[in-house]
Amino acid sequence: MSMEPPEKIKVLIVDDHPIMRVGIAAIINARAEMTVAAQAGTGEEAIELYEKHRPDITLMDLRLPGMSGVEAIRAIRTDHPDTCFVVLTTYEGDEDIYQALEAGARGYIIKGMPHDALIDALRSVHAGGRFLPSTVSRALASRTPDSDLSVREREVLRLLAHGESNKGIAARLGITEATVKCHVSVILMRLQVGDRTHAVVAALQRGLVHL
Amino acid sequence: MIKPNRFNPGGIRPLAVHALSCAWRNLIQRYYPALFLAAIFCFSLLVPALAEFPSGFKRKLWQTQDGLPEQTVQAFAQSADHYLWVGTTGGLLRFDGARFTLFDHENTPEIKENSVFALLVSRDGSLWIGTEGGGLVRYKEGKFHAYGQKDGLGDGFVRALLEDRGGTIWVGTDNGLLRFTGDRLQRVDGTADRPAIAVHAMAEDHLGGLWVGGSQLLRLYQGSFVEYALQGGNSENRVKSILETSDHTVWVGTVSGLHKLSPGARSFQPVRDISGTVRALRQTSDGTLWIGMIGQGMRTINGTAFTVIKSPDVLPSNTVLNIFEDDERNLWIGTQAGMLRLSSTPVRIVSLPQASDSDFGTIYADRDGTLWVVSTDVFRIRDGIAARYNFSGLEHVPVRNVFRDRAGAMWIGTDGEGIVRMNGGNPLWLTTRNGLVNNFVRATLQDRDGSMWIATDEGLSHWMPQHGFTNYLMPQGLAYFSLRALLQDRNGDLWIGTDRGLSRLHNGVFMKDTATEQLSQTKIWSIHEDEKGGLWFGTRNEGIYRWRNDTLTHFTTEQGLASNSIYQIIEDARNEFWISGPNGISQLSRQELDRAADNPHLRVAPTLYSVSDEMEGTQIYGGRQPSGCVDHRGDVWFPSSRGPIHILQDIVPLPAVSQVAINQVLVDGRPVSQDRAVVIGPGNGRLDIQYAPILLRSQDGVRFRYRLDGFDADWIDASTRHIASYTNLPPGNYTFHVSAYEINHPQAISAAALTVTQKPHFYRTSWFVALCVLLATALVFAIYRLRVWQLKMRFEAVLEERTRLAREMHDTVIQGCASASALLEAIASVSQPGSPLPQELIEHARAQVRATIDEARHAVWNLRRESPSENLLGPALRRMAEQIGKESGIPIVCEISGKPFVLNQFATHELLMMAREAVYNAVLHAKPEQVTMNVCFGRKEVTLEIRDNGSGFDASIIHSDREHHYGLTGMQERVQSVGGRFHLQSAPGKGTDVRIHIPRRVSAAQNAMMNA
Repeated sequence: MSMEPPEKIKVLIVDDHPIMRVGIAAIINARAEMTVAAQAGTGEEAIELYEKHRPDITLMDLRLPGMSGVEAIRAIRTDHPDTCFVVLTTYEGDEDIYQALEAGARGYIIKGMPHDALIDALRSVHAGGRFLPSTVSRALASRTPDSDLSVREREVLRLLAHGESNKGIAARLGITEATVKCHVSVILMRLQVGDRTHAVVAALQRGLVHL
Repeated sequence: MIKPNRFNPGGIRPLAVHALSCAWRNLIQRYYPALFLAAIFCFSLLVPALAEFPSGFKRKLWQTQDGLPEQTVQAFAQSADHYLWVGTTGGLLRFDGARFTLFDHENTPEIKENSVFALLVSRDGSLWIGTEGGGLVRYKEGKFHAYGQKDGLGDGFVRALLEDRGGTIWVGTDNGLLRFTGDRLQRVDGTADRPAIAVHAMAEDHLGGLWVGGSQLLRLYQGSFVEYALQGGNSENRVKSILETSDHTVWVGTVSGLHKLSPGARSFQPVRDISGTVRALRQTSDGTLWIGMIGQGMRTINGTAFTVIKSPDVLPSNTVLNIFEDDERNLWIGTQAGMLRLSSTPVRIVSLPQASDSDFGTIYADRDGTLWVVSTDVFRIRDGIAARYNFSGLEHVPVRNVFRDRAGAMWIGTDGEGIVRMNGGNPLWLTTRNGLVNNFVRATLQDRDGSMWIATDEGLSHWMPQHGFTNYLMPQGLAYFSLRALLQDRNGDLWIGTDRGLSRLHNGVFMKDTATEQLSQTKIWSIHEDEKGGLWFGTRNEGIYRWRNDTLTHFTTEQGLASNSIYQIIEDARNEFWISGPNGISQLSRQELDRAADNPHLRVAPTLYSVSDEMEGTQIYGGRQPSGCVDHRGDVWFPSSRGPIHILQDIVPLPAVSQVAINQVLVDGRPVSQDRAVVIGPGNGRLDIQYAPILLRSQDGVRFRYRLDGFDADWIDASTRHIASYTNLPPGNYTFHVSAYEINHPQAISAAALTVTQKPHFYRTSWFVALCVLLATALVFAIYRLRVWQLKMRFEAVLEERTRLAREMHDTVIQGCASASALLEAIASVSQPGSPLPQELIEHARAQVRATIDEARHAVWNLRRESPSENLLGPALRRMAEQIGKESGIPIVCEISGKPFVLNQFATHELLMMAREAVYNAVLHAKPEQVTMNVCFGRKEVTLEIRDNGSGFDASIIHSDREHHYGLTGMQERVQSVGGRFHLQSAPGKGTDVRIHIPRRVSAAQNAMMNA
């Protein structure tokens, strides 16, 4: 019998870790209705392969060398606003989730979840729905609305997390130390923490800064 | 020798005896000191020609041997600080009364000519110095300034200087009269109506007229000159001196004499009796006009009294060049042979008329104020007039002493002729013939009962009008026959001083007591009873004894007496003792002696009226009574060879010690400049401060005391010392006070002060202590900052470690587990029950889990504190190479070169991780036959090279080809985190070469972390 087989859902896997890709690909390819169209190790590669394969869903890791996952999502959605993205990452900070959803991701899966969750997410998103596991929803809900940091404050926070002193931050950003101090105090206030260490910890937890 | 005794009833004096006694008298006069007490009494006296000289003067002469540069003294002035300035032909002198300071051409270039002819102190404190040929010099505030032709001074011979009432300075020169206008000299004469004059003298009269004398005599009044003529020829009338006295008489001295213009008179009249050059005119404060002449000494005129003063009696030279009275009323006389000071003293010698050889023995103050002065002749001084006196009937009798009894009768003790009682009518002679013990009378005394006691050369007689004489001699118990003094004390006991011991006669019986026993060998020449009943014994050579409350107290030169030879003790109404002796007369309060008696440490400080400036011998007499007396005015008199010495009690109080000045300060013997303050550097041991009074009269009576505030608790009595010395003063600020006073006027004190600062060693200065405190503070602050920095570093290290750990966890455990999880999920999703497991996925999962465990272990390894040996890079690399080689079956060669050093733990770990990453990359992807690991320890860095001979890849597409080189980025990051460099070289088919350079030096943060 020759039944027109249903169109398989083409998935683009973007992850810098090859073993990870092997596993994910195996899970997806094991489903009859899904197939891995391509695998990319970087954001740039993802954009390139997206153009080439036009997958139905792109499974995007947020942490990528060079261009980040969020940036890649934004870049692809600029030309293809309807593209479906499911984020598959180790991050579960509210800011990461927020940023990813803001960029246009419609599903968010944490690495290490059962393979059913991945499949559910792909299906659900492909069906036009959203997929946010409860942990992700909770993290997102906990996000303080006014914790938006300015670009400059984010930079300061990033350098702070990398162990830079005020002086070093000032040198890197080409601003005065007093200005850095001012930024730091705003950051401490926004993150509702008492000192720099806690600010870094909070920033890492919430995905404001990545290492 | 006749032995008189009380039983000699004879009234006849044998001739032989008389002759013998005359011979005795001569012998005694010549050889026996009891009669001729040759004492050097150092008064110089002006010999009054007509009357007692208006006031007494003490004379002191300075010549070249006393410090003058040259003998000729021609100008004087006194500045406000009391210094006397003296102009000599050899320079200008500043004189404080004892010491000269010379200013001459050698030490003061402004003084072009040493001969100083005129001096003036103007109201602004300047000293103007007129020189002979060197122009005018002004000395003000320690600086000299010369005026010469450039200032308008045409002639360098300055003869006269004057400051008029308007403050204008006038300068008289050999060629012209000038005055100061501003700081320039303007010539006044030399105009058409006023030809040039040579000026030698100037004076301002009470109307403000300026008298100018020299080649002419002029008076400048209200801008116009009037010329005055003097009698005589022009050559006789060159003016040398001008003076207006207080009675407004103008005196003009010329080369030929003296002229005066009496008030109201129209013309000058010559003064008779004065002919010769009158060089100096001066009126002293007592109104006396002093006239100094060339070659003829001085004349004084006081009212109608006219006195001639000449060399050598008073003056060292008869050429008197200048006369000056200072503010202490000392008179200074500049002569061709030095300068002379005449100081008034309360002591004067009354010269007696027609007494060519005043050989006086006793002086007696009669109750009516008359003084009887007895020597070879008798003189009576009554109302200040001394006159020879003859007792009627005694014209040729040598008299020794005079005494008036209470009945008014005079008793005249004679020299060998007994004693004569004069009471109106005929004299009553009492001699040995009448029972008198001896005819040579030494003392006469009236007993309380009216009877008379007569002490003689050889025994004591008691005369009662009704009973005649009772004589006391040695057999009767008299201490010695030669009697010197008599006194009846308040209890009626008679005390008899002899040349060997003391006798006490009580109700006609000689008594022995402590005094008579202790003084049994003493020559007692004077006995005095004070108002408390104490007896004072003056001795010939043992000083003074006080006998009070049965206790004898001894005073000698040890206690401060001027001499141990005492002739007479007199107490005046103020309880001052006047003590005569061979060294002169000293004055001492009885209280002071009493105090010294109570406190053996105290010394008495008598005022000595014997200071000799000119060793003119004056003999004071003692041993015959009365050898001194107090007259009815309280004045004290003593007999002397030059006439009775009269000490006035109503002395004009002398001004206070003018000023005491600190002359020099020596620090460790080196003079230092001192201008009210002396600063002594640290480590200086000795400070000497030399001070001296500026006192132009005699400084002998000046005493000092000083105190260094902050060091001395009390004043230190310096007596007459002129220096205060201190050693090893502790650092600090002190004020040195010295005060001077004259012992005659101890309440009049002058003082000077000097600030002394002893600098501490630098380590004792406040700034040093402050610096130390500051340093300590800075050190504490630095330690604090260091601690803060350490904490910060530790915090940064913690942060970095935490970041690293997070990264490690993410890179290894999470990533690895996530990958393994994905594989396992995949296995779970693809495998059907009964079908075989997908072996490939399982293998992947196994490898991934193993790798993750490995990485996790290494991440944790880095957290542990490890021993240094484990820190060594070489062995760790070898172990790693061995392990991976075993796992993969590919030989991994590890070569280490250079001198290994210990990298810090962090760097070691990072390097190991990178090496592992690189080796794994090579083993997993390049399929090499061999991997070589080279570790080279260089001087500054360690280089790690991992080279394989595998497939290689295109290094330029490293970013796009993530498939095989996913770890490269991580490696780069790790290298950067330890400050190293990373190089990768690879090409397809040519293997891969990874080079990592890690600097030996590690960052502070890494060190801190290592120490954490």
